[in-house]
Amino acid sequence: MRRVLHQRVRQQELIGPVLVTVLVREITPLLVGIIVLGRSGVVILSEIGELQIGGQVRTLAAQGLDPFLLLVLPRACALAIGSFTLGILFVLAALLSGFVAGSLLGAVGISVWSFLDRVLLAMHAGDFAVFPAKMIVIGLLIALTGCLTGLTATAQDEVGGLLPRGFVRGVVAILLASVVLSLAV
Amino acid sequence: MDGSSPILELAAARALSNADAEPAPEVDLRLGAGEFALVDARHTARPTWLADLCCGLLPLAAGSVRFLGHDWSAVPEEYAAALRGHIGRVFLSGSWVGFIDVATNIMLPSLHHTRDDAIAVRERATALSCAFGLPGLPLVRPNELTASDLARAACVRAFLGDPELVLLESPVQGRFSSLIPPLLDALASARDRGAAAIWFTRSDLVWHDPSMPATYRLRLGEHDLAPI
Repeated sequence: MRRVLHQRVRQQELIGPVLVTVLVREITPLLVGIIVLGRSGVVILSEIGELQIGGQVRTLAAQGLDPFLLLVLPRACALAIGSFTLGILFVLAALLSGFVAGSLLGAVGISVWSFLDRVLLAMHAGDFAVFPAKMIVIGLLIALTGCLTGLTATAQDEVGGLLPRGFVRGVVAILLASVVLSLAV
Repeated sequence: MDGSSPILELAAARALSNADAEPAPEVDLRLGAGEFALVDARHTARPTWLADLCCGLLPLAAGSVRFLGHDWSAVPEEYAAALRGHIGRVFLSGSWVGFIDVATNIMLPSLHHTRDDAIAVRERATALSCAFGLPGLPLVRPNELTASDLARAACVRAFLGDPELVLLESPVQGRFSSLIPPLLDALASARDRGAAAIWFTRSDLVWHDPSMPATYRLRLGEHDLAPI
């Protein structure tokens, strides 16, 4: 009985470090990156690709409007901010839903405040840096890969053919950014 | 042509062509302030190459293209972009960005290149829209406008911002001949102000119109520009 109780206490002590390492540092950036890529990155790619194939990008350049300033920069900033905020919402939702599920199954026997306290206490300075860095970089890379894939389309390309190319580039960019930042911080 | 400094000068300009394409011809053209060239573009499949050459969008193999005294090939890209803000152009294709409304499409170059107040730009655009026969500044997206109204909106954008050079790529199709009078009025105002203009036409109606106040009449072939 005492051994079982001891094991449960040790498991509860591990909640914080495990959640921080798995959920905050690794899972959230990847999943949010995939969500943003599917929800917005592909839309950006099809918009920019359509403009490039239809000649509107050339028209903008002929009017002295820089396609980078007009099309790429706002989307890159928007996705960087959007990924970061979506990442925070994702972490909060995952923690709270995990706590509720754990409580209902009897796996977690502490209050929600103690639960969140353990998570926060398990976070190191590097974790506070790596999470926003990953989210912002991943958002930027999704926008940039989408825009660049669209802008490098030729008149012979079709938007439907650009989508798989852009999606693969986006996934590779997300994975690379995640791995590099995990190793760096 | 007079001896004053021209608005646009193409001196033995030859665009760089692809290795597999025919070599591009040399083009000579000099347009001074207030001059207007009417170009017959009925015999070419690519009427935009000369307009692109005038805007400095095509790299040159030989010669020079100077706009307002500046050689396109010698100015930095940022400066070239600012210079293009002095060119009003009706495009033959790819004119409209589909995910923003026509009003924004029209005002974007003026808002980008000047420090003018957005309200003032909107007022000028609205006045021009009315002059070209639109009920006001179109606030809908390009795919919601008729082809006729889009042609009028394209003219509004070309003349907004008092350009020094106006390039009109087939602004009037045969069925939109009601656009000719306001277009000629706008052209006359621009020329009075000192702007030069090139009108590329594929319309018999325009080309054979004896009242067209052209300083020069030229014919654009597949790869050349010849005086008539």
